[in-house]
Amino acid sequence: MSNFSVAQADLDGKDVPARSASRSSLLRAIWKNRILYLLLSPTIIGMIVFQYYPALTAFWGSFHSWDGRRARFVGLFNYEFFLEDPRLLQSWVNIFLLLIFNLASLAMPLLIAYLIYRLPNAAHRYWYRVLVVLPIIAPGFVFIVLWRWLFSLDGGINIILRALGVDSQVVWLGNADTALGSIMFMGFPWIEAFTVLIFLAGFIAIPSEMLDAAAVDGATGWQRFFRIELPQVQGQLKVLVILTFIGTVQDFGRALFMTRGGPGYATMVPGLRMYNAFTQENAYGYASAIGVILFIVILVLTLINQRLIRSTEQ
Amino acid sequence: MHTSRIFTYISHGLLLILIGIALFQVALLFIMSGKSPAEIATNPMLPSLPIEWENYVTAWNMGIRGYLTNSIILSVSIVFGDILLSVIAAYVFARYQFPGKRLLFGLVLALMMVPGILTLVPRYLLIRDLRLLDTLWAVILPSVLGSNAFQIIVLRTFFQSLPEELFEAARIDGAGHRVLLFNITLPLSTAIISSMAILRFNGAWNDLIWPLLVLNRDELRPISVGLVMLSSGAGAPEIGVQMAGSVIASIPMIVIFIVGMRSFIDGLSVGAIKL
Amino acid sequence: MRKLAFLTCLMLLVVSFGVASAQETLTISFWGNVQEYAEGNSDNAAWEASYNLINQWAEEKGVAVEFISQPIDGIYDRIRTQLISGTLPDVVAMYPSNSFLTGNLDLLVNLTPYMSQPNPYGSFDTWSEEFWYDQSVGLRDTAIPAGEVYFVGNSLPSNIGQLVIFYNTEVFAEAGLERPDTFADLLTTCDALNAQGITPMFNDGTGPFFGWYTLPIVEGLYAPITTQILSAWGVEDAPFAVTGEMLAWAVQNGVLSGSNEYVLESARIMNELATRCWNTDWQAPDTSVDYFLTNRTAMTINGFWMLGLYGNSEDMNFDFGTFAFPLITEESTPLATLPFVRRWGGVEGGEIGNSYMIPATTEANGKLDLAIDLLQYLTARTTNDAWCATQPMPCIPKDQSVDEVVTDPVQQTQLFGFYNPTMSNDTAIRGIGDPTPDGVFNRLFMTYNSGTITLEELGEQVQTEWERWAERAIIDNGWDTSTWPAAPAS
Repeated sequence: MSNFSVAQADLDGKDVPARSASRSSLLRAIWKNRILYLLLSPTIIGMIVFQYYPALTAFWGSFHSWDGRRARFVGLFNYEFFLEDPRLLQSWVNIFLLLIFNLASLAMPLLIAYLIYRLPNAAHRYWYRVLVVLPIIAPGFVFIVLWRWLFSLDGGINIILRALGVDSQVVWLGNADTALGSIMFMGFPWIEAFTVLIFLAGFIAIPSEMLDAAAVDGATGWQRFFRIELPQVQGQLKVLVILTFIGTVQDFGRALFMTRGGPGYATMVPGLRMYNAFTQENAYGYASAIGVILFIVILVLTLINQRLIRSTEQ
Repeated sequence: MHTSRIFTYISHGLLLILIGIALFQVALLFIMSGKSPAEIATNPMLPSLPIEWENYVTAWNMGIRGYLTNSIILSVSIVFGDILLSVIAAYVFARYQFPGKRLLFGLVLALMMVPGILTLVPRYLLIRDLRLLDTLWAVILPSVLGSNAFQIIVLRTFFQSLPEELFEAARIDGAGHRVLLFNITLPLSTAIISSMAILRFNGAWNDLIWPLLVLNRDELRPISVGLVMLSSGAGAPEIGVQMAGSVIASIPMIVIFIVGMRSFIDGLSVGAIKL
Repeated sequence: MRKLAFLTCLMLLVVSFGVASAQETLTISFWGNVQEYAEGNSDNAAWEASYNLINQWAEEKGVAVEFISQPIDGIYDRIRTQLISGTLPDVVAMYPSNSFLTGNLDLLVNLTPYMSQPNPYGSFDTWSEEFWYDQSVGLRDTAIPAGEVYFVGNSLPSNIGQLVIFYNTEVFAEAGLERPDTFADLLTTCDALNAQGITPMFNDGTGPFFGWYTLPIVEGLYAPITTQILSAWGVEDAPFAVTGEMLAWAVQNGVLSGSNEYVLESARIMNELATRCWNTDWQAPDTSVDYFLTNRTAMTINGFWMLGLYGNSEDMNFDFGTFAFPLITEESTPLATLPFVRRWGGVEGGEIGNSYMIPATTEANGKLDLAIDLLQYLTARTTNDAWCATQPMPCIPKDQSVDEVVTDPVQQTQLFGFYNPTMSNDTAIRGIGDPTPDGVFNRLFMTYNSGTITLEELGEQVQTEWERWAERAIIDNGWDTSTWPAAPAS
């Protein structure tokens, strides 16, 4: 979750003046900044040891038939096997639909943040924020237990529907037509505290002169929202979009705990294939290959996003 | 800012309904924790009497106290170490130019995209080779070292937004890194740092798969594992007891919520997270 | 900072102390939550009894035993990771599983040489005679080489089936229904219950129940395929397990295929059971309640351990009985030509259940003798009788009938399914069925059951997945296909 535009500047080398310096002056610059490297070293070394080294091991494993003990080089077999999966298309379609949905559902925290921001009373604004954050006290897995029950035949959702006069006999997670939609619906009304607060921060930072000017011009509420306020939280929106990309493509928790990817293959996603390869098949090489592909997909999506953002800025 | 009264009423209505639905899910946790299996079968969603305190007794007697202690030790150490290192790294990345900065920050950024499960087994073998299995270090070290990319990125953005004049003035007075970091940067950043700390605490508190793998001995295991134990017996799972255990497990989060809420909200409201 | 350093030292001290004192103890990775067993309030009498026996041994022997609870969620992933990393405790108590043993048997202590030696706690000439039955039969379930013993454990010394159908006798009586004898009877019983608005039978398609229902059908119907495989591989001393390698051969040579009539017929029969008997929400039931206990269904499938649980439950407000999952006869399908045998239970019942293995690292740690001693203690005939006495099932020697031992008619009804029909050593051949670890057949069966694909499409899709499985299994396991038997003449 990041400020990617700053990162981009770094990657382009805009703020690194030493780029054309000769080798000796480079060494001198390094020596001069030795204390900085020292300060960074625990973090960087930690990342290399506990993250990059294991990740590279997995990358190496993706070219092997590897069960965690013995590894035999098999070239691109694991990748080919994954890409020839007859269920590949369905699992990517599922992840694509989830992605679209998760992006669209950012509208809910945006709405909540906006409503809070527009409240005239500061105390009200504060207390709504407290209420939005409150659900983080509950352990995460409780929501899985809860929503599984809500979706069951005689569970909460059907109880509510029946109370409303609809004789619902739908087994929400047990029906190929409703399972994916149910997984999306899970967590309704999707107002994650973190997201709401980020949006709210963006609204609060809008300079009041801007709004006053709009008021003088006689802008209506809608015009004001779409022309002034929404563009001002674009920065926040973009971060959340990238985070949603990363989170959705990697995620398999919901599919695993709610439906195991079923019924049949209705809610299967690539991440769950990877998880199953690890846990059920002991196929670490194959699982690693899927992981590498997911990494590449996220990387490409992020880079495209970066390009789009830069071109809109120019 | 001028808002019409009718709009305000509508806003209150919408907010109360939507947030109410979200809060009802949390409320269900408490409601169900006080129900017997028979009561859950007939009236699962509405509060009922008598409250089945037995659920809490059962959950508590499953050794939850030991699990809670371990969770507190683990989460506090992780938050402390993680935030300390993140602050230092973010400060360096935010305020200094030095050769290789691009590369090193790129390393931090790229970590956000590596699927976590990919590194599980190699990391386990590493911890084994370091002879750390069945020690709390097996959980603390990998959680402190190398899993703080997000915190570094957020804090760095915030530190960059601090006015350079402050640092300039201090440098003229001969201040070193320690003063610049602890006496200037930190006091201006308590809110954002506490939000990061609370998020990290929440993550550490709920972490399950890794502690289960590296901590075999029951006296070392955290509460997330304890809750799984609660739901892991043969026969009919008693959802009320599970929920009661979850309520007990959320007490520290409730305390943190009460104590740290204002900083958490303020920290995420300073606008450090955007593009 | 100084405080931190102090804490670090303190922790290191604690750790090193732990290592030093480990010399005196035997560590045991144990199934489920040990604390529940210690408090004597667990639902699992089998493991609770084993826990108590181990403590008895420790006291007699003067050894400190350290139990390590293994929550059942993800237990095989963890034990496997620890097995291949050489970090398992000295003894592991668990149910054996193919999912991690294949290719890793060299990491376990082979107990075979000890079997022909006497068990010091027993009264027979050899350890293997202490067991009520030839325990290696049961262990073939896990595709372990024939005759080699890697696991030993406690068993119920009687001819029982492990899994049976529990039924609500009151509902059956009100509906004027009898206990069904054949699979066809079972289906008409379901129809009769449905006609009265009663959901006949519970299944959880996301859990083990699914397999419990379908394995007897699959193993029974696949019998001709099994025979073909075993004869091609020259295996004569049946019962024997079909191994993964044999299945890969069968897939590649068209012996096991999605167009095979027995395969398709098993799906069709499963579908009849599903449509006529199971709860309509079987593909995603509410797992937080017991459908049988709460009167949502008239029947459910479960194991002998549920006898104690249902019997002691405050929420149980009706009488129940049991019957064995009925065998499929020619009445149900013309393909049922070979005599069907019951899969579950029989001679290996408890032996493959509550089992113990010793990782090879225990030998390197110098604890092998101690570990062997524990296993010998636990599996001596007299100890096993003591274990058995704590189970919800009575201990009935194999040459006695249950009615001789149990005279209470209520109890007789409750136990009926476990003793009728009587078991023989001719158990179903293990290992036959869908070879894919992800359970492709059952997944596609769900799709077929909901009407999205036809039986032929099911067969075609299963075939694609099986071919892919075989291709990868050969590469991953390094099987030498040049040593495989020739394709059978069609």
